[in-house]
Amino acid sequence: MNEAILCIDHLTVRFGGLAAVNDVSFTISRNEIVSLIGPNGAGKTTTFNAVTGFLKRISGSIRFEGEELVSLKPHQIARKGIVRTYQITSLFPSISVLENIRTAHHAKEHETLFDVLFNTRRKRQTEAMTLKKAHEILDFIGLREKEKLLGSNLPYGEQRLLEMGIALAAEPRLLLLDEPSAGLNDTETQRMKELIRKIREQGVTILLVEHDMKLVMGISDRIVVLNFGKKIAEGAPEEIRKDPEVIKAYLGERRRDAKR
Amino acid sequence: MKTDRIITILCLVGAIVYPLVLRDPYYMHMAILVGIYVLLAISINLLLGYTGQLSLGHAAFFGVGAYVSSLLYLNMKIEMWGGMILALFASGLLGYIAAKLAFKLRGAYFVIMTIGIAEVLKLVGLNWVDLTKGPMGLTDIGVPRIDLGGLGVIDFANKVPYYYLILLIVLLCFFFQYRLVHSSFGRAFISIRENEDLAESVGINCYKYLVIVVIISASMAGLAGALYAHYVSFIDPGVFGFFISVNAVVMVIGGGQGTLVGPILGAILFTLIPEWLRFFGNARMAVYALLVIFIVIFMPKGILHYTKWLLRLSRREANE
Repeated sequence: MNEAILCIDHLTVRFGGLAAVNDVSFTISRNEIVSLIGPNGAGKTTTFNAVTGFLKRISGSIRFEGEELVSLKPHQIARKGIVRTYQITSLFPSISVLENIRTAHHAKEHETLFDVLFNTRRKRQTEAMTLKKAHEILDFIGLREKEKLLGSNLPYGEQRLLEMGIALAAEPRLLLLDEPSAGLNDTETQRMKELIRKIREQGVTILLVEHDMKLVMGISDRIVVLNFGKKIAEGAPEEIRKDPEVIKAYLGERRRDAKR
Repeated sequence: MKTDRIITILCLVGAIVYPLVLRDPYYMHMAILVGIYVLLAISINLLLGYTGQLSLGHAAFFGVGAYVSSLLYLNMKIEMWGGMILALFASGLLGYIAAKLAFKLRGAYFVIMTIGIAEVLKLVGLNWVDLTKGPMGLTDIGVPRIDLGGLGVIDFANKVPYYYLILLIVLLCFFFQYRLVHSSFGRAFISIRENEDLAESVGINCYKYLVIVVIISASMAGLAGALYAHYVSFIDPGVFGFFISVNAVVMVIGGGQGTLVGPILGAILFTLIPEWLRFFGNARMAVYALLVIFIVIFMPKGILHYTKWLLRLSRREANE
């Protein structure tokens, strides 16, 4: 149960002279929900970008199920089972909701140009499999009735759900969620929280970046806190809530404030 | 869906009986030119309409196809059939090189690279006089004859057999495009157009698919070039001209990029419109240009989109 799925070891990412992520290490166990929190600019999204291969020239090591990820390309990492969502809504805007999901199932489709041209049995089976999977996911995220709408025509809250669907269609084993509740109202956030729980129940491990503390505290098994690129705390939600370093990072120190 | 099928069958029948109805050489000539432009438009549509990358240098592939097939015929007596296939491979290879060069280039940078490739090849065509005869061009590019024994001879120097040859190739390419677009390949192409970062993060190797699409697109353009060279039997470095690339792009955008039928409609209309405008005399191309601007401003989604819209509107009125 407590076997590590992702090990981040002495990760450092520099942009020019600035260390956006500075010597950060933590591990995630299989089927955990771990949250990565910290004030703006703490290096949370940078950590995501490093894990998913969108950054070059990073130092340290990132291992997924024992395999080194540094130097792999984003699509290679995705195929290993790490899929991410984006902080700013990111979907395929001018194709239908159904096509959005089908497109994202790409890594599980194995057809050659020959299959495509001659419409072989393998091609027909692949299409049927992808369609079935896409419908399962649409049912799961509750957008089945909207499958014919264009991605960009969905209301904002449903676009965020569709993003989750897109990520799920790639069949992740580790899902990185970058502020899934950003811009959502209370009901929608509640719905998102339920969805994240349901995804975990299916055996997916989750790393979450989130500003909504109620959501973070309510859902996380463990929390990792970053500030100015450094890890300042790690532990269960109750421990983090009381951690003086964390309180300092979020609220500042009384004495220094008074002096100004 | 049903009306789509009926329209498709009607168009096909129309294309097949066309030479029987309009035997006039002028109409046959226009139909053959339209066919060649349809190939070029399909080729550009695969790249522009589906992966969203604009090439303003497709004349490079068109020209390479034309020159390869012509030179093989003139210097090595290889008939058009072999020439066409080798032209397809040669321009496909050039496409592969172009795609490798493009690596991370997208948008405006990709456009500039494609223009550059076409211009470089045009200069090669102009200056490698030993091979290409420079601006003098290549002449007497012949077409094959098929002897059917007792049934007579099909001579492709005649316009009607050549028309059917082109129709066959257009149908094959259209079918190829149709199958390609409705597959995981097509979805990967579209994902490049829609959101490349997201595509990468769900495991789509966008670069690989860009290379595939450029190779296929370039090969089709090369095939069109070879068919053009053997049809007019004369080519000069003008086949690498910017005008050819731009014209084909106008057809794709005007007709409806990213649709299967739009580029065909565009190729037909934008080849015929300059002919219909002949009564404007010298002002012809200026009027044509204004028309193109008009279409781009008022029908940004392409003529096909608005034709469909009109059809739907008329159907609704009929129901009421």
